[in-house]
Amino acid sequence: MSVEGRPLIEHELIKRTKSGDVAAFEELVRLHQQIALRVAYLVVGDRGGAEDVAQEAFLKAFRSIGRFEETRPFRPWLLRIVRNQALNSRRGAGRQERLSLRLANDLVSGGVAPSPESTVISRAEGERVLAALNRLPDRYRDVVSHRYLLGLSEAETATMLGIPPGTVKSRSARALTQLEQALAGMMDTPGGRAR
Amino acid sequence: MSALNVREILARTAEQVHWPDTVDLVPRLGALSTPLVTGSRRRRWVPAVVTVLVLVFSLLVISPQARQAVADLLGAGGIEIGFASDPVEPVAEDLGLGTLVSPTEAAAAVRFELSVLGSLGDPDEIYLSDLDRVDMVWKGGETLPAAVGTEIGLLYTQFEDTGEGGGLVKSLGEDSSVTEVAVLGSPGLWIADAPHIVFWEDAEGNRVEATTRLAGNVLIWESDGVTHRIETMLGLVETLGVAGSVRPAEG
Repeated sequence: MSVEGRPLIEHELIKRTKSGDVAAFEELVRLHQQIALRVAYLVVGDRGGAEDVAQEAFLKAFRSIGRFEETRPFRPWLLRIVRNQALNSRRGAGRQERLSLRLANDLVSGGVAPSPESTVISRAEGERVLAALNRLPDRYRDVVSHRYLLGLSEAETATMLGIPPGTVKSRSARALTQLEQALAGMMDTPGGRAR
Repeated sequence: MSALNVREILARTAEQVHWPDTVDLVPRLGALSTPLVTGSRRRRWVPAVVTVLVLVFSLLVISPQARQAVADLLGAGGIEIGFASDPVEPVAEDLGLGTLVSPTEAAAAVRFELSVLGSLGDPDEIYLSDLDRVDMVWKGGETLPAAVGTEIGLLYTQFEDTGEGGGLVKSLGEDSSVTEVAVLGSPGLWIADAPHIVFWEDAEGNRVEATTRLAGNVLIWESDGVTHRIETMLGLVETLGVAGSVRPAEG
């Protein structure tokens, strides 16, 4: 059985994968590979490593999908496998647990090309935020990066991090408070530059 | 600057982050010919367990009472118990505990809230395994007798019951006793009087490896999705006292 290019809902793709339809799983991969790569990149910090991690995670998901309960959302289940794979990869490489994100060279805001001045301001602000995120305790940084940089929901973040939704909410609140203080402190420094 | 502003700033930052280009991973997956895992976890991993046990021991009895007690304790079935006919020799030389880490590294690496045993003070060593398991080691002394053949007085293990597979498989000696206890209001088991062996399965359930431990008594309980396990030469009352001093690790 092939997918034949028809738009299939995720639920049907999962059911077909469980019945042995490899093409259906490939469609699932294409649906989720962007966010999977970003989750991996957030942890391992380099493109090649993220691709390797995502590849291995999808293979694990394929082998394990028989145990996936279809009443549950698929994406957080998959992304948790990706994150676990990425954490194992990072530990194996002996790398530090901090964000290795950087800002894009060409910043675009609201579909309108920004002025040079606003570009400088936006970049400075973005660099301050990334620097402040790296100073947060790991468990706060994890919540903030998943909720606000990856754009995952509270429930998805909870599943991925293996913590209750209430803990996501409380950590997020504390993290935002700490970020607020850190960013305010940075703006008080000469030039307000990220350290 | 309010919390709302911080959210807005984070949203703007998210738009600026340079993410790697999305590549099509499908061609990299190769031939997806590996048989899919089907059926429940219990049906799947029990044969693997039995295979291991048959190779090493003669499996005599799977106690329905013990199995039910454990099933009640860890709803997702994190533990399986079997009784072996041959003596199980503890191997103390290599406990297979993983990588030696700092308290901060351990707390940061696992997905659950790490706890410590407040009454014992700081552990002498902390190990992190690649299975998201943390082992804290206290060396033996006057008040904490060391396990035979080791310097270890107490081993405190924590791991998360993810419900996604993985878990603990325990083989008890024939003379072992299992007692139901309560630890800080959570149901637990006290396993005493005989050496045992523990088998671990990874989070995706696709490999099983044997990890040998001390020959001590074991107190095991589950709280908030985290399985706690204390292995020690202390008795039940003393061990419950130690377990009662569990508190969240700082950091």
